[in-house]
Amino acid sequence: MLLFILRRFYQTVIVVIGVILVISLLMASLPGDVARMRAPKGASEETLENIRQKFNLDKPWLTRLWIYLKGLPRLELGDSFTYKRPVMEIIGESLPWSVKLAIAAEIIIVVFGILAGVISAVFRYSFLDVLVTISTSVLVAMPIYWIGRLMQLFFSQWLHWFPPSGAPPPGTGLLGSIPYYVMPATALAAISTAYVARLARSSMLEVLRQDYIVTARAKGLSERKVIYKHALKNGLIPVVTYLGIDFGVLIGAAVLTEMIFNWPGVGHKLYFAVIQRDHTMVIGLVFILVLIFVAINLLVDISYAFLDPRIRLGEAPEVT
Amino acid sequence: MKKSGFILIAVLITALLVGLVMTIGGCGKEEKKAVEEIEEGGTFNYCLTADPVSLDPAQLQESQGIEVGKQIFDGLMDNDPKTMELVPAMAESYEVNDDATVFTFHLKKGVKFHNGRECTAQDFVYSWNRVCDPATASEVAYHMSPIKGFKEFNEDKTATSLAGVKALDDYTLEVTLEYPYADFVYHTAHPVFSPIPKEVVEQYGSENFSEHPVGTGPFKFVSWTHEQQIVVEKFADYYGANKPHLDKVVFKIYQDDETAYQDFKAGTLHDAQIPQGQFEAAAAEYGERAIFKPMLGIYYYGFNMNVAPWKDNKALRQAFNYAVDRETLCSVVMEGQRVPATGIVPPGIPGYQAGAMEYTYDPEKAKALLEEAGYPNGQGLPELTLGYNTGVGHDTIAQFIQSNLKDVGVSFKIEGYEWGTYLDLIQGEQITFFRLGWLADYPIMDNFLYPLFYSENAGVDNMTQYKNPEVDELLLKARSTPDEDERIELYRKAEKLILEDAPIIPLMFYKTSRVYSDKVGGYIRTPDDLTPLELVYFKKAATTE
Amino acid sequence: MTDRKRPEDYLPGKEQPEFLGPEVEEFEAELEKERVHGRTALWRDVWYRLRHNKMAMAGLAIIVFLVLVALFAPFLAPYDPIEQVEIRTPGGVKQPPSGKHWLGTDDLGRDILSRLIYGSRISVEVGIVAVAISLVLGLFFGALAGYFGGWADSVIMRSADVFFAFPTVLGAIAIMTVLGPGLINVFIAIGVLGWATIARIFRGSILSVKENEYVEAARALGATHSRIIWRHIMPNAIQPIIVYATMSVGGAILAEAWLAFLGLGQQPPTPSWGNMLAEYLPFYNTHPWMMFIPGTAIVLSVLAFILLGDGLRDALDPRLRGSI
Repeated sequence: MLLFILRRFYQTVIVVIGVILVISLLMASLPGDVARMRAPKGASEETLENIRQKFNLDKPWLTRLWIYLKGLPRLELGDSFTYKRPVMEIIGESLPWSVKLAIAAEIIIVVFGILAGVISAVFRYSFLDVLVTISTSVLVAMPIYWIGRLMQLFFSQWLHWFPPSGAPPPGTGLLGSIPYYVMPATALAAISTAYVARLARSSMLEVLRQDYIVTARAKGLSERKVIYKHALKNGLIPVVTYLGIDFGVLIGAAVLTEMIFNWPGVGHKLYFAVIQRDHTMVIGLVFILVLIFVAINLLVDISYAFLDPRIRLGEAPEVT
Repeated sequence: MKKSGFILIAVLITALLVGLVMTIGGCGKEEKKAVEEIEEGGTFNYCLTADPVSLDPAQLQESQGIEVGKQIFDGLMDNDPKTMELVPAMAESYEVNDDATVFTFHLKKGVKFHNGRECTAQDFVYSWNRVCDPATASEVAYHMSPIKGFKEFNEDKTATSLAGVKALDDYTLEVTLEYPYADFVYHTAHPVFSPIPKEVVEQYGSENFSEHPVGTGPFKFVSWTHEQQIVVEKFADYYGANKPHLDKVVFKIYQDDETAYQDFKAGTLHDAQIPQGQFEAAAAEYGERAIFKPMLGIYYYGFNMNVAPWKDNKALRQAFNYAVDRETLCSVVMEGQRVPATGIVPPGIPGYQAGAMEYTYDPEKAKALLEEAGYPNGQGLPELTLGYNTGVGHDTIAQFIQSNLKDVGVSFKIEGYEWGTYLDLIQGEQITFFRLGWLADYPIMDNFLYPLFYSENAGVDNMTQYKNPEVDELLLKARSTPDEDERIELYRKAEKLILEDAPIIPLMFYKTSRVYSDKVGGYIRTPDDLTPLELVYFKKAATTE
Repeated sequence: MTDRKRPEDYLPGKEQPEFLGPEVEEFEAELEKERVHGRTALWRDVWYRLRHNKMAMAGLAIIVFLVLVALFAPFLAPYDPIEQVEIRTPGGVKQPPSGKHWLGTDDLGRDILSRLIYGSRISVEVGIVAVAISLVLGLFFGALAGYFGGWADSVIMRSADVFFAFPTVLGAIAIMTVLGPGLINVFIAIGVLGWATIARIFRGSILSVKENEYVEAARALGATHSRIIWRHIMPNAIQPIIVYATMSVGGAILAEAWLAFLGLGQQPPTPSWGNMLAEYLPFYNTHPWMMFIPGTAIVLSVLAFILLGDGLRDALDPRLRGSI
């Protein structure tokens, strides 16, 4: 077990290093002169040189990478070009918003995804099953920003149910905040809900074919008891695993949702940092997001290994 | 007969009575409307379309920063919100010497900073010096460049202060210029000239002043949550004649006009920018409350004058000018909410000339000029690309112009870039055919011609790299001509010369596209696209009815 | 789908698709004796099952229609898609559907139907080219890792892990920022981001297939590595890849749409469904049908690939056999 954890940990470290290398490589090859973009209009060559020195842009790529790497263990991510403040501070402000939104989305995914999946597995090939299959497929097939705009149109502009965008203003109570979460969380949850529904369906179907279920049925247990007591418990293991890992994705991949709904989270910051070529900000944000993502993966894998001994015994090819 | 006469009279009387009642009722309503009115207090939610870069007067340049900054800071002079005429703000009056080199401002007494201290002439000296100090690294210090000693202090670093600004006593400020420049007084209405208290700057450090701005304006800064909102509240001791009615203003920060507009429709915002493509619909829905007023700004396409094929080919540049259909662009593509450009300087600026340029929509003439340029029917032209920055409909305009040029045989690609990259590539002369806009800093002709076409501004705001000694001379001469009519005549000459050279295709003059809630009154959008929030109030009628 | 990782990828222990086992056993003898005949039989079987899956067939029909429209666009489109035919007609822009313009005109007076027809070409191109890039990279590295194992496996799979650590939206934005906007770069960005999943699936398949006796027999007989991979392993290991690739085409079409929304996709005036949707979105209020036209086209075509992919998975999965 310890060996398994150690090995997973070592893999994670390698991934993080790889990610930093990739990002630095991307950033180093961006077109345009960053110093000129940061400088006042018509700045002299001298001013540009000062800026380059200040942000280490004059150093060779490897040196810059080294300077950056040295600060990482202390989470020193440098100062943002555009905000002129430490990147960590900005992450500190925006990350809680992304996490809150991801939690709200996760709730939606759990409730609707599992419900739809179990229903369609139990009533296989029924009208309900077909409906779930089609509607989940349509959800996956829709561009997320279109879903967002349509929701704003229907629920906010026509029905006036929810505020069209933005985070709850400071001082709003928990209950008063809920309407602000509904639409962005639903848009963010759409794709994952569809996947969870499909995953739950296929996993339930698989379990329902297992011998012990057949035995349970043969023993004359009621169908309801078979499903709720036996099938559900085992059928949902892969779903729970997926949900755990998806949480990391929900935090990091909300770029479009956060843009459409003007949500002050990390995705929002990241998009604008990329287009404004705020190097330190992009590297810092992606670094933290990836860190969260791999950390969650690691936790999920380890806890899964506790639950399912087959994994840790296996010299089997690594997971994730 | 008798009977019918009676009936007739009865009918007449009834009709009269009814008319009278209706009239009285009508009058009553109107009176009610006139009294309706001001409900003191309330929180106004203002739509800001991006997070300001800074709230430090020394860094106020982009419109969002100025929209907020104008509420917090006041300066010596201001522009009338409707006519843009220069009116005194913190200055009681000013005098100027005969050759327009020395300006003496007499300040109002008892003007207070938000921290309670009185603002004096020394504060102006301190603030202006701070803007020009190279350590501040102000990107807008150039507004002060006519002041004597600016170059030595800001650029050459041979002086340690701005020689041309002196406080003669607490309420008298003397400004000496490097060269005669009568229009300088217009500059002082720009927020970069606003006084700020030294003690606050020292308390937080110069770099952090932006997060704790203090000025003398109608509203006092409360907080700034980046990317979300800026809150200001009414400053009770405001010196101005128009005391603010609102208790609080929340500037809500958005990234795109569309989202903000939806929030406006839902009632979350009290005003918003109308997104392109919804002008017609907004005008129909909101009537007067959708403000489409001419603005002091121009939208143009520029050529890089250093690079082939534009270089030394006036006929080619003129051909492009004749090929574009400005009328259809404004009436159809922009849904009638832009004005076809008639030159560089828009109407509303003293000295505007309606017939500044000869270019009309004339494809035949464009073809003839193309032939003259050596590219008959567009043949022989290298592969051209028109650049634009992505967002807010620039791509639609580019596609329309592209099809205009195609009609005369010229084809080019169009390509969108992000704003930062875009400016960088234009300055680096990698994009040589591009769209840009210019909004007036101050309502004078100089502000359109000098930054955009004076040779020494090449690469700063003069992105076309236009250099014409004759124009340079005219502009300098105009600046130092104290007589207004003479000065304007020189600027007009310069404008015509530039247009003849055609370094740009003037396309259209901007209009504001702002809408505000029916709950508020006193809402004005100025020709420089600002709202003086001290004039805005909530209507009483809305609550009593 | 390229824009999210498939749930299957997250399932620890599911690395080796077990469902190939019985399939292979059943066909092993046949494959050994008469490989070509055996493979035909397998695919005939798959086709038989697929044909009875109504939703998959609906998907296939849409795909065939889409490809035909893309191929014959110049003959089908009533107008030039970039010509602003109605711009100078009073009331000519943003016309509702009519006999003259079946789907109306857009904000520059262009015929929307013609733009939609030509736009299908971009979607088909993105789907094919991007997925082809993913396939080439993914199959090559997957085969390398799975077949040879050892340090090649470690290096390749660790690199794949790095790619997995990026949510696709972030990765695509980052790559497009470096490369600049444009269709070719969309191909590259989507293609490059998709390789890791394919490599991982293929590697898993190979690991499960390569220990089979017929492969060992071939090896003993002295067959070259590439011959073993291509002739013996590929036909069996390829099945989950086919399913994944089918779905990825839908993902690529979707990715073009949101990249266009960010101004990074196909540049105007050439119509793509993505840039049409982005362009018509602002008129949602006054001319709502405009956004529904490209929007529906995107949803239908992505849906078609998902349904076909689903159908293929069911058809290839022998455990479901007999239940249909």
